[in-house]
Amino acid sequence: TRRPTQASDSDKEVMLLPCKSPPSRQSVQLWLEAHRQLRLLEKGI
Amino acid sequence: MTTLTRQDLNFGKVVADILCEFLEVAIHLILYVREVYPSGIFQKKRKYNVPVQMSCHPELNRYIQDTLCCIKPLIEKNEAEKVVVVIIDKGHHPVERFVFEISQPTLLSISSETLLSHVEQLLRAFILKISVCDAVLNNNPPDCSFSVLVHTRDSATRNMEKVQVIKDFPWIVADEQEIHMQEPRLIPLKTMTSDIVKMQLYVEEKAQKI
Repeated sequence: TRRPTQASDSDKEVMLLPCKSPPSRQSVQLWLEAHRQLRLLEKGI
Repeated sequence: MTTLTRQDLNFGKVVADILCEFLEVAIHLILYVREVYPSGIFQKKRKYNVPVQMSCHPELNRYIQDTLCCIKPLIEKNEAEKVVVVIIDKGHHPVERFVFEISQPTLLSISSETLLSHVEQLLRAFILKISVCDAVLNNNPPDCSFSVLVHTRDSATRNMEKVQVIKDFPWIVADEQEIHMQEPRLIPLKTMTSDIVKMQLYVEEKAQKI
């Protein structure tokens, strides 16, 4: 059961989304490759 | 059995904590299962006593946490009707929507000793359904991204404003064309009914993705 304030006809439904975008697949892929390189360097390979 | 209102024991906050923790796990798992990001950024962890895949990418994890931090006050006040994870193609058109439809009772009849373990069992079933949902969905096109939408009421948006400013994470009203999907296929995944929350999860999938 919704709160009475929400049931009002004038209180219309809205759909909100963040203004910011998540990181792109490409930038995450680059991070992943850099991360792997760093791991290898740390292991001295 | 005891009957409580939402104000007793700050139950709204307890429900919001439980749901946001669950949604965080669910979002990570959806991104993994639907291959939105490379599988190499995901690590196997254990949540709800089942293995799940969670991202270890700091920026992505922060984005998901900030998103849920802004949604939490709405859930706490029972003002979030749906939380939707939208998978978007590179042309910014939605191809899949994972819809978490949330409904909380005004009066709560609870048995505290069984409450949390029962809810955990129910949420585990959602996680297991998400982890195998790729079997019933078509492949997504390459280079997809995602967004999280929340369906609420106009009056409720003020509950988000303070958090948005603190987190420097502004929200906007979605345009119809950003979320419209032509004749989507509906795939019900899971429904739960507990003393503190009812929730159903379904996927809306675009008929022609590629």
